[in-house]
Amino acid sequence: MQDKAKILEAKNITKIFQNGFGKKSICSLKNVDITLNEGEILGLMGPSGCGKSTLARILLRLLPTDSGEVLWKGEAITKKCGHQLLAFQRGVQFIPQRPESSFDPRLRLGKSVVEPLSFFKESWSEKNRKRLQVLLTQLSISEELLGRYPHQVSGGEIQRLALCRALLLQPEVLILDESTSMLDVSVQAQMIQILADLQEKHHLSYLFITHDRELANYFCNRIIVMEKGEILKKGILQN
Amino acid sequence: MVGKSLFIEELSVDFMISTGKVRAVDGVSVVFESGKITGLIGESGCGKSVLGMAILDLLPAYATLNGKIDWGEQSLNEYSIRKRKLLGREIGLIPQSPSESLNPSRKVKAHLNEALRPLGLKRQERYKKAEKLLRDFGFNEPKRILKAYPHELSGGMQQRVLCAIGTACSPEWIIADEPTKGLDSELCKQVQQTLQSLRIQGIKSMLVITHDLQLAEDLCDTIAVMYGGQIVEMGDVLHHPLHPYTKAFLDALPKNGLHPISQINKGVEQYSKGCCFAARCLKSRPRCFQEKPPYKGDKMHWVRCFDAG
Repeated sequence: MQDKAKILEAKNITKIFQNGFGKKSICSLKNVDITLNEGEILGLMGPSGCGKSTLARILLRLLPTDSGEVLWKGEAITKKCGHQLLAFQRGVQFIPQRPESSFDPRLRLGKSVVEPLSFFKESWSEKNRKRLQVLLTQLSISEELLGRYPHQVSGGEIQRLALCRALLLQPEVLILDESTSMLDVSVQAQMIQILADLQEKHHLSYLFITHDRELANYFCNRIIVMEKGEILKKGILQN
Repeated sequence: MVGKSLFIEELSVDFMISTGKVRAVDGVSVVFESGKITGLIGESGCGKSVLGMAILDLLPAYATLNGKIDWGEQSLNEYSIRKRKLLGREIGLIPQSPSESLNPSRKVKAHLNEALRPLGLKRQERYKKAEKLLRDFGFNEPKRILKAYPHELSGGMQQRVLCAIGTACSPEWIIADEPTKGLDSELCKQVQQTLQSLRIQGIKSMLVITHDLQLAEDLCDTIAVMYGGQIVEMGDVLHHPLHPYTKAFLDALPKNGLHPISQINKGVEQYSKGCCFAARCLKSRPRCFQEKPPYKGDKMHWVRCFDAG
């Protein structure tokens, strides 16, 4: 594992939120270091409110940091903006806990799934159509679902569609924020199987945020445990 | 045995949507006994919540309900003012997703005030009762909580507030719909303790709809397994599973190797003549697609499968 190239890194990250019009400061992350290697499944565990999701948002550049920096393939991206970030934004994709909240309720799912391509100025070409077909087959998504609206599909189906939308951009890293916690055990098992297959086929790296100890032990190569904004443990989790 | 049991006979619920009719509950016949905590488990979309909402008459207007639901000797089928008064007072609901069930623009006090209104208490008495309820559910500073908005409370605290609302009128029965969905293990434990404390407060009968098998195991006296709109097995299903679906469902747990259930679900309508699990069952025979399996076993543990038992 040590020989593998570092793909995404966070160094000395601190994040403070101001609450109540600046009366109270809440330190959400305190000098956090995290490294995701190429082709690795890194588990991030901890109780609610320990800063897991804040760290994920900082890694995605959705939140600014108060100190420290984020590195994408060894290059600091904390101060970059606009077109300089395009490769990073395409390379790192995010699957949220409630994917239904990331789909526009007024758009049919098919439109939402291909929408990110236009963000990267890609046309709806034959190549992309074929790629979508392959992904639909890999993820066991019926084409009929693309004609429906988000409220007309089940939790497992919308989760797979969110994964399909992310994979259409051919990312190198997936950040999965409690992506399976809303699913029942049978759909969860199906989802984990799909993620494992995709990781093998496309050599993806996952940052797998979860509070399910058993699942993390089963699925992840390495685990980081957080508590109160700090890293408590790193390594292979036993008990 | 005290209290009234819930008797459900040949209950079906259909939804009319733009693409046609979808059957969410398919001919369910079951007795949820009073004095027991019954768990209702199964995968997403199997009809668990629809069954719970059908009992409470909280289905949307485009749903069609057929069959019988009796609470003791009283029928819950037809709409009546008497039945409306019964819901909330006699059968309470603890809904899923606390963050979505509480009105973000109203304080906890307003929520509890509304829930206590059927008791006909004066305003001051309602306030005192609300304080007592919050204290019963582990809040040390109920006055502060009453003045808080839902976003000022954590997920576990919101869940406890919902429990207080659901039990405000001291109902005989409680239907808890996915009380731990999306909560971390610490909060799950907290919710489980809250539900257990309901027993101490006199609510003995509960139907807990969940896909959290740990919660079902720790909390419930008996568990019903639902698949494709039907209850396929009921009893001590976690330790002695008999139905192929129950076995496959348990195999999908991380501790059992995370094996996904075979094949894609082909829906209830397609195989409504036979067993609802036949399309995905590894042991299914032609008979499974043609005939409904009989009930096998006794009152304590029964299963609907030709091969089981």
